[in-house]
Amino acid sequence: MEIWSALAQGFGVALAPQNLLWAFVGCCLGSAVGVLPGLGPALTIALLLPVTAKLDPTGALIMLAGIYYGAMFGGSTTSILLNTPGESASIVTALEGNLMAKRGRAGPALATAAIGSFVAGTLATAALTVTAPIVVEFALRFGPAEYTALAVLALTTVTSVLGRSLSRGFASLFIGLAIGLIGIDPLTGQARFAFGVAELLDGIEVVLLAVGLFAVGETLYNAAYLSRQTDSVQSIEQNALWMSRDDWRRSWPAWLRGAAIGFPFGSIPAGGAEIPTFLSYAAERRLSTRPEEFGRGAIEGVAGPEAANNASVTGTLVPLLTLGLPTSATAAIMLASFQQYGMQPGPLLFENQSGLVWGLIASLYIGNVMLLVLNLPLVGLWVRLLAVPRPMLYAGILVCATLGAYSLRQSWVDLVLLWVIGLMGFAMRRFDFPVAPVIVGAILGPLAETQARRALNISQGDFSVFVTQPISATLLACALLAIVVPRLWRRGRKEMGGRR
Amino acid sequence: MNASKRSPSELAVASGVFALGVLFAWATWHLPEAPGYSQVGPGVVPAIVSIGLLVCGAALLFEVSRGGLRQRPAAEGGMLDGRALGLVILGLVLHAAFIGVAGFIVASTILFVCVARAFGSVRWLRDGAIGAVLAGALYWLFTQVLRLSLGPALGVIAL
Repeated sequence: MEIWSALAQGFGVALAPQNLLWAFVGCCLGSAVGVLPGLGPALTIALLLPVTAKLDPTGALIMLAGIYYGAMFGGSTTSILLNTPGESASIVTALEGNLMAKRGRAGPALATAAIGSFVAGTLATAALTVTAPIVVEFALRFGPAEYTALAVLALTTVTSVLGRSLSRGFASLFIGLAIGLIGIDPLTGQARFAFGVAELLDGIEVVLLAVGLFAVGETLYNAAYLSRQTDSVQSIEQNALWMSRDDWRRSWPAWLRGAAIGFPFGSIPAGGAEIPTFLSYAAERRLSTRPEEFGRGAIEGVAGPEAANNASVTGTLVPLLTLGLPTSATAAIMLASFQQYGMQPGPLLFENQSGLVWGLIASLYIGNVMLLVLNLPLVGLWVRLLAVPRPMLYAGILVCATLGAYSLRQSWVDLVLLWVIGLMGFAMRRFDFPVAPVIVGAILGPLAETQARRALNISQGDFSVFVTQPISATLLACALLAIVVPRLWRRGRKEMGGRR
Repeated sequence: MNASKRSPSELAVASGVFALGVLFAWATWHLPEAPGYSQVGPGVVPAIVSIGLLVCGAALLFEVSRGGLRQRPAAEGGMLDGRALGLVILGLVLHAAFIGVAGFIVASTILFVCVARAFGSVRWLRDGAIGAVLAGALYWLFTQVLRLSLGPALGVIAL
């Protein structure tokens, strides 16, 4: 029963007027920025991170959680109407939902996405409420060696599971780790990789990294290759926003299955929300009585993956809050937002800042309700944002990006760093290097290093400490499997396909 | 995809990763000796990361020499629009050059006009007006409401 009193205390925090207001502001900002084409949740949070720098931590984190969720709701609207997924987890929605919209069923597609996100988000938040204290109990027994192994597992999965190429994926990861090392070593005070530039001694700010890679890199890429492209926005039939009885009947089992697939995948290091959305799509196609509709706009193909996406994103909060372990780019940026207040998520945060943590969890329930209200009746309002012409959109994005960089310490060095990272993002986009490993590597890398060195100091420099302890050895074995298995799987499928 | 065509840009990217590895390895090599009491000094993880970068760079170079980066999807968009790309970069450079001497609003307006032009807008006076209003609103929001510093608004005048 301890959970319920903690949750009640959390609702007390989250329902305080100013925190309700922050949640509302976050949901609105998240929906608005998330709707803009090409802006996913990771960039949305990174762009708005400087905004929260001087706010009270509880309110600011509640707002960021609202932004996190809001950007996903907004992103599915864009995927359905415009077929431009802001992140890889909405690819499936974009596929099936856009086909529905083209057949004049944009309304039901948006409705099933919004209600499905709400249902799955709420169920997953309930699952988070119940599992988090259990994981915390477990995490308290973790020593530095276990934490290091866990971090290695998270880094390998985010690198290996998603990318098409191991060499490019690991190049991204090591670039991220190298960026994370820049600055003063926290254990010895030794400056590393600063190359004589005083500004680099503080390390590279996450805002610079995320905004440079996503906003500047994306703008450069669009200018270079897609500047003359025009988008075709599907319109919503005004009175057809509601789902028919048949739509409901087909949607609700898909929502529940999506939530059941999404949450467990989100809460383990498995590379984020991409895999569960694809799995949910495959499951819905297999279970459907009308599989022929898939690929031509089947409502289950929107309902399931959208639910899986939201449940999985909520699931990533389990390792993030209880272990301080980010398993996706967006979660890594959320971790950075805790760090900006000098807080480190993990088991100790539940003890020292229980009001804040449970307030945050309670605000997820509230945020889901707010977003349902904001996105279902008011979807027409957000859709108008899609009418912003591309020249204005990208010009505005770059003004906000440079503003974020300059607000850090009013230095042109930060602007130059932003260009350099932006050009890197451009090249990575052009040559298909995954971006998530850079972000996760830069943020999780330093934490993992500290723990690894602690473990090695305890073991007197003996590296075997990582493989002789059972938990740590198991986790490292999983990391190895995460590299090998997807390759074998793909190779096996190719051979089978060749024989046919 | 045409695998036999060697791409100079792929070679540049692969060399870039390798060069980064060399740079970081060199910097790791020149780190001062760790203090005696610490078993594992500040150079261990940088060494691992440098080796990782070198190995990845070498693997990418190998792929390029064998006909190109593996499993690369066909690029969208097609031809590189150098003029548009140049305009965005020009906007960023002018922004950084002007933000110290002419203030946040002027620099942001210049950036706004350059980027809008790169994406095909030809009404630069209107763009300038929109950019100035946006920059002014953001400046007010950040400095007055959120109490973050953005330097002077116009020239050396703060709002």
